[in-house]
Amino acid sequence: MILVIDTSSPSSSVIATIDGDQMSESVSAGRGLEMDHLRRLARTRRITKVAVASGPGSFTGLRAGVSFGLGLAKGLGIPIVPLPTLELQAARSEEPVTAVADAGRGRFYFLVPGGEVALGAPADIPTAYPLVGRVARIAGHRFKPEKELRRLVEAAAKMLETAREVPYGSLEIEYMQSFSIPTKSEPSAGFRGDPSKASRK
Amino acid sequence: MALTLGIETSCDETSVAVVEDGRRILANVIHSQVDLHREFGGVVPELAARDHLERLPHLLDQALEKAAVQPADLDLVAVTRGPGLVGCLLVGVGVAEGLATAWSKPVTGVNHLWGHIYAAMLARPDLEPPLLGLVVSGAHSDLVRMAEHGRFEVIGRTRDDAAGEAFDKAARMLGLGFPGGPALDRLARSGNPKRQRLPQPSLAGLEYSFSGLKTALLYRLRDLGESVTDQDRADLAAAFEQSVVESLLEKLDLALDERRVAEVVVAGGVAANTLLRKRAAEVVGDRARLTMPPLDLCTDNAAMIAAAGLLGGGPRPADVDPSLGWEP
Ligand SMILES: [Zn+2]
Repeated sequence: MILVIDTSSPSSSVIATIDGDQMSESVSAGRGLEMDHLRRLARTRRITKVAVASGPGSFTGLRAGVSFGLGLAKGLGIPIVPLPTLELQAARSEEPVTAVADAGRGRFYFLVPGGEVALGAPADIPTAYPLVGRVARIAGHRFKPEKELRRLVEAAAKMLETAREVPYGSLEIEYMQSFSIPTKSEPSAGFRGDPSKASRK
Repeated sequence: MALTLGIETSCDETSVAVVEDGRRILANVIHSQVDLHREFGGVVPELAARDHLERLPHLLDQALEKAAVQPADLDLVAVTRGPGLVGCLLVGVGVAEGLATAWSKPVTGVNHLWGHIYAAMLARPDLEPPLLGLVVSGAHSDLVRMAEHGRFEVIGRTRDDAAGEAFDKAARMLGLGFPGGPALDRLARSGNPKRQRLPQPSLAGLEYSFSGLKTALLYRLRDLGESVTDQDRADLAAAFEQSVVESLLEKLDLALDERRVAEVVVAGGVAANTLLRKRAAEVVGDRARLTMPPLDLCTDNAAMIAAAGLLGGGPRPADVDPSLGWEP
């Protein structure tokens, strides 16, 4: 059984399983992982592969989900496969769509068919294709209706036909925002000597 | 016999350890990210978190191999839940939960500050509370009373900068590289604290403050201007170090007078400082038994987290809390 974890949305997380043609997914509100559910799955089923949505998306959620997936795969000695969040959303549609994910502060990550992942305000997202993504709504944009889309677990299964596993030590989270390297000699806001402390050892 | 796997990722050290009965280290593998952050002059949280994720799998293999332990032999997975950098903590907790799920083992969230005290119990397995502890690090300089396992009461703290933070800032002013603490320690060894006297901050009670001292150093360097010599800088480093150390120990001295305790622990990253180690022994004298963990147990490591996880009462939820105080 393949376990699929997607914690890239700030408002909900998805735990899904693929066992041949048998697929199921459960969506829970909030960014936390349903640990009881995961522990029960690990106890009662034989997990053979872990697939994790690797971003971009919620900073906190992705960290938790990807790290958990890595620990689980490493602990069981089974492959781990990263699935880029926006490609995963785009794979829910048969026709070309623009995949979107919430980047916070009114901005969105988006991927137009054949393009590259971009970050911008709603006005920056092209309107040529309908949108797909785990976001409430975006003013001025049309979403592809949920009933015309595959479930996330089906999209994951489709991607897993070609997606490659990565070594445990090279699993990476894809961000775009919140990853800013400070200029040299001007340490970042969170470095050890910052008086705004409380966030360090 | 209880075997605990410890995982520590709260700041810029990635560490995995295996500890027996919370007292005996079977393996304590530490990867320091100092080289990664050096060019930025401080810890870059994002880089730190990425590096933790990348290093943990290999460090785990190393720790288990060194301890000659199989995952099935483990009884508990202990992981730092705070305080620390949020992104870094999330990685450690996530991996720990994943491993514990894979192995069907319980997991417990550990307070990093408690870990620094429990490091002393790894250094001295017969050490038991009640004890008086001074934890000095980059973000904390807390004087605590540990009544029993898992119960801490803060009796003294800094009003502004932590001791390690003060050392880092002084090191930067003196043109020393990152990390500042060890560099300042080295420079101070060739200086004379009497040649460039700096004020020794003193507040009433068990509180201390280092910001005035920092300002005094800044003005002194400004007055010296271009004419500052290498010897001046060494003398200033020695004077600054002396003021911080004596200020910390003055409060420890006071606390020892106020409350009779048999055991004193001085721990945390700054407890690696040469002068602090020497003077702490003198100040405590024969009033109590002093335990200062060896250097590799003063800096952040997973063995102390494993020890605190097993002995500190629990298990407790591994909820990430970057601004955790001394509460569980
Ligand atoms: Zn620490």
